[in-house]
Amino acid sequence: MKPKTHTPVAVPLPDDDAFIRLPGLFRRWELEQVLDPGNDFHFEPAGEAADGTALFAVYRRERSLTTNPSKED
Amino acid sequence: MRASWEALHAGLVRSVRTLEADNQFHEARQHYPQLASFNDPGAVISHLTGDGGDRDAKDQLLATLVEMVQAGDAAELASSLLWLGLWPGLDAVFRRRLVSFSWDADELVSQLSAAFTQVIADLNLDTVCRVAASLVRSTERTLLEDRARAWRDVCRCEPLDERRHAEALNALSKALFGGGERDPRSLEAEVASLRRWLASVVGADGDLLLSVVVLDETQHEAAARVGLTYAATRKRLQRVLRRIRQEIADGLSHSDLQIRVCHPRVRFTGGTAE
Repeated sequence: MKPKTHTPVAVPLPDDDAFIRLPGLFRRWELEQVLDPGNDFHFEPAGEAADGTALFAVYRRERSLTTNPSKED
Repeated sequence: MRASWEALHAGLVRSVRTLEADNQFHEARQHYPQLASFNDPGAVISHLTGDGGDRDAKDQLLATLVEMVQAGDAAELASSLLWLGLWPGLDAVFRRRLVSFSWDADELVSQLSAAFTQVIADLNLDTVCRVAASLVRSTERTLLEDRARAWRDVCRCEPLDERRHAEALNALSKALFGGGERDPRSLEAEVASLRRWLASVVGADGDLLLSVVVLDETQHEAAARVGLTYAATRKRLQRVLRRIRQEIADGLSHSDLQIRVCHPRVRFTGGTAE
């Protein structure tokens, strides 16, 4: 049994600039359907389909939320 | 009305769909066998909220999540999974208790969040039989106890911290006058003044009225507490409310009266406003 602490954990909410997972898994040739130039993407291998095709989990982050305005000036 | 509650739900759903949450989950799966059969956090939520499945297994899964929070292992993720896994029960608590918070959903969300977080931290897994029921019921009980404590503090006029003082007084003011926020700079004076006013109008029954109207005590509970029958308590409360309405009405001009006071049974036949 691990030691217990009694420090309350605040309701955890993600940062605005977090990578958020898109629903489902994607085959390699399906990735272009989710890509768009306005966002950042992260891909993680997620096993194989029944036919042996590699599957990927896709995470997206809106670039507008991570852009530093001061750098644009 | 439910905007802040639904915003909390949306934020929690988003929190378990992040890259960080997935990484934490895959790490936790290696240390907690109860998580091993789930591919991602979403699968845990679907399992916990689904109709089917073994209740004992679900309880063991919830116990694992509580253990993770208490141990600080991926605590935020585990906490989010507890929130979402028990959302149907917590949502029922929210709907049941909204009236106790004078339909102030933001305040209820805040109090409910604090209560649930505290219950998770304090839960003794060695003595609990049903984790799901214990978490939800203890959260509701903590919520009500905190609310009842706030109004008891007002009635006793004991020194309070500013936040609880303001909460209690605002609830009191809204219930009696339908008004907005009170001036926080003179809280103690306002509490004392309000209690004096109630005592002057309805005497000792003021506390009985506050217990039922302002916060969460039912008429049955109030009757048991003061040693009266339910019927006697109900009649006494009706009488007290009539006297307060009359007193407020007498203190207002006729035009103010039309705006601020609702008199379903009392008809005023005084002179008309010029």
